[in-house]
Amino acid sequence: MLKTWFIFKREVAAYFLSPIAYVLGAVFLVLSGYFFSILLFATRSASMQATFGNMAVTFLFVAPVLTMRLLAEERKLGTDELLLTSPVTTTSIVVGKYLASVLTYLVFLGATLVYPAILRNYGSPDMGPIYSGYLGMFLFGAACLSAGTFASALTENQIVAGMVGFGMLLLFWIAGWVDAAVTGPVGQAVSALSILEHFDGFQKGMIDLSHVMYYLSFIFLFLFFAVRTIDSRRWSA
Amino acid sequence: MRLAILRACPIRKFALGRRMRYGSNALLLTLAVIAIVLMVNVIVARHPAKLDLTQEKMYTLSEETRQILRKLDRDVKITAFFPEGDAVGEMVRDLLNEYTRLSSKVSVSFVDPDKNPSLAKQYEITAYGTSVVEAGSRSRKVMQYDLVEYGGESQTPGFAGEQAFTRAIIGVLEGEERSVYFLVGHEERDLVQDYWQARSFLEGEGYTTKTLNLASEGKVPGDAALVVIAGPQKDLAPKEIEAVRDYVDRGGSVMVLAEPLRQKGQLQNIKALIAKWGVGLNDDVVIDPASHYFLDAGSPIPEVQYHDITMKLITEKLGCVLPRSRSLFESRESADPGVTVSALLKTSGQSWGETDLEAKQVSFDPKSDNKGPLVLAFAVERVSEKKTVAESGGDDGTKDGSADEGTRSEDGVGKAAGDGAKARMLIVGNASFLDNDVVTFQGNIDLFMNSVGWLVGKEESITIRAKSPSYSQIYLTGQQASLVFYSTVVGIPLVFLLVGGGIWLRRRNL
Repeated sequence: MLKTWFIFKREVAAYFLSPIAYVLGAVFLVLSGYFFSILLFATRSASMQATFGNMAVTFLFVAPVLTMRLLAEERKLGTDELLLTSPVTTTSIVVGKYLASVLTYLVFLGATLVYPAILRNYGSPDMGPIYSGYLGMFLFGAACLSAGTFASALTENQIVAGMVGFGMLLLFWIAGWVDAAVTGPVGQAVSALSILEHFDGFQKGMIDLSHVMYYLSFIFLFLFFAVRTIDSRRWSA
Repeated sequence: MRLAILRACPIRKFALGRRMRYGSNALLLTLAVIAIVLMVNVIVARHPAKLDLTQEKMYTLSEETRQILRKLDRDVKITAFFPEGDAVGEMVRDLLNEYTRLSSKVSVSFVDPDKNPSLAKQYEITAYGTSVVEAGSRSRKVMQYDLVEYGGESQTPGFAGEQAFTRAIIGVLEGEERSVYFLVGHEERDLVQDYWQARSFLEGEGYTTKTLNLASEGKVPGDAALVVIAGPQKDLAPKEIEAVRDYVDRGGSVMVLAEPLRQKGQLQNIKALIAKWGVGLNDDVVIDPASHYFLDAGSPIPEVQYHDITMKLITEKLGCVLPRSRSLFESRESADPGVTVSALLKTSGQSWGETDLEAKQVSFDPKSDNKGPLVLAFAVERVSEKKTVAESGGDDGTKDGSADEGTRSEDGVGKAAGDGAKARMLIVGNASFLDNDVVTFQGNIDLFMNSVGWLVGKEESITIRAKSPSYSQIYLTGQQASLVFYSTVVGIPLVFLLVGGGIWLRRRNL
C-alpha cells in the first residue's frame, strides 16, 4: 500500500512537472468548452446531457496519450529493471502509475465544473443528471485510462502504446454499432461490451449498478492484464 | 568448454520448464479471472438496482405498472416502429427498457420502418411512432399521439408513454374479446360494403366486429363491448328498443349514427330511446356556408369541442367532414337522472338546419329552420340512479376532466357487478362520415376510433401521470453568450496552460 503510494506520488510529480498534462488538459478543455457553449446556444437547455457525450468522446482520444508514457518509458530507459528488482510488486507499480493518470484526469474534469456553475448562474438546471453525468464521466475516463495503461505495458515505444491504446478504445466504442448489423445474442453480447453504451444512463440521470459494475470490471481487467504482461516479461527476460 | 555446455544444458532445461509452467498457469489464471468478472457482471445485470436522479423520476415506473408486470403470466412482445434517432423513439426506448428489466416476459424490438418496410407492412403500420403490443394472438397499437399529453399546469407536453403502454398491455391481456356489434335489420350501413375501411381499422386495433339482429337474437349478447346503430333507415321495433335499453342498464355502450332521412317524423322509437339519454334528433339537413368541405355546403366541417374523445383532433388540428348531417339538441327534461351530455362537434354560427327536405334550392328560413350553431355529435355518460347524489356536482361533462378520471376508475368494477353501472353513449347526426370514400378524410377515422375507445373505455381505468422532462431553458443575451463562450473555450484552457507553463519554466530555470 505504502509502495503504491510512493509510485503514485512519483508519477503525479512526473505528470505535473512536465508540459504533457497541461497541454493535454488545455486541448481537452478547449474542445469541452466549445461543445458546452455551442450546445447551450443551440438547445437553450439547461442540461449537460449532450455535453457529457461529447466530452466522453473527446477523452477517448486524450486518454491513450495521457497513459502511453506510463510503463513504456520505464522500459525504454531501462529503469523498469530497477523498479522490478526493487521490493515493489508489479501490482503496486501498475496501480500507482494508473492512479496518477486518474488523478490528472480528475484535475481536467474538475476544471469543467465551471459549466454547471454557469448553468446554475443563468438558469435552474436539474442537478440530478449532472451529478450522475460526472460520476459517469469519472468511471468512463478511468476505464479509458486503464486500457491505455495496459497498452503502455505492451511495448517500449510510446507512440505504439498510444496507437494501440487508441485502437482498443475505438474498438470498444464502436462495438455498440454491431447490433445494427448482427442481430441476435451475438450482436447483443458484443454491443454489451461497448464503452459508450454504458455511459448513456449516467448522462440521462440514472445510476445503474450494472453499468457501474461494467466500468469497474473494465478497469480491473485491464490493470490485471497489464500486471500479467509485465510479470510474464519478468520471467521470460 | 565441454564442461560449460554440459552445465548449461540442465539450467536451460530448468528455465524453459519453469517458463512453460508459469506460462500455462498464467493463461489459466487470466481465463479464470475473466470468467469470474463476466459472471459477476451477469449476476449484477440480473438484479437491477438503480438510482434515478432526475427531478421528475423520469426513469422510474409507477406502482401500477410494476404490479402489472409482476403479475404477467404470458409473454408480451412489443415492436416499436420509429425512425432511427427519433427523439420520442429514444424516450420510448428508455421506458420500455425499464419494462424489460422488471419482467423477463416482456420483449422489445425497435424497427426502423424505412429500413424494414416489409415488417411495417406486415403490422399494417401507417405512421411513424406506432408501436404494436402483442400477447398470443391479440395485439394492440400504441400510436405516437398516445404518447404525448397536453394540458396540465406546464406548457410543455408531457410524456404519457407509460400510461399508453401499460394500458395496451392490460388490453392485450384482458381475457374477454372486445366485440363491437353492428345492428342489422333496419337498412343500416353494411359492414362489408359501406364500412369495410372503418371495420379494418377496428380489427387492426384488436376489436372483433360482428353483426347483430336483435329481432332474432332477442337481446344484446353478453360479450358486446359496444353496439353500433349505423344509419338506420327504418325504426327499431319496441322489443328491440327494450333490448338496447336493457343492455345500457347493464352498463353497455351504444353508438347511434342517425343520418337525416327523406321523410320527417321517422325513427320515433329511436328518438324516444335517446331522449332518455338527454339528446334529441332534429329532422333537418345541416347547411353550413361558413365551414364545409370544398364546394359542398351540405358537408359541414364542424368545430371540435374539448372532450376526451376529441383530444387528438384538437392537438393535431384535424377536422371532421360530415356529409349530409342532421342536427341534434340537448333535451334535459326527458333525460334520465345521472346523465351528463357533452357536445363534441358544433357547426358555425352561419349554419342552419334545413327542414324543407324536398327543397331543390336551400336557403335559411328563420321561421321553420333550426338556427346555428348546431351540434352534430353528443357524448353521453349515464351513471345509474344510486350514484346520482354523489355525481350531481358534475352536471357539465365538458368541464370536470379531473373528477371524470376519478370516477371512471370504478368503471370496470361497475360493469362487472351490473349495478351502479356507468353507461356511455355517442350520438352523431350522421352516418356517412364512416363510408369508405369519406372515412379517410381529415380526422374522421380518429373521431370514430377515439369514440370507440372512449365508449369501450375499460383500460382507461389505469391513469398514470404523464411526465415532462424538466427542460429548464436558458436564454442568454449576446453579451452573456460571448462571455460564456470565451470563458469556457479560451479562459479555462488558458489558465491551465499558464499555470503549467509557469511550473515548467520555474523548473527549467532551477
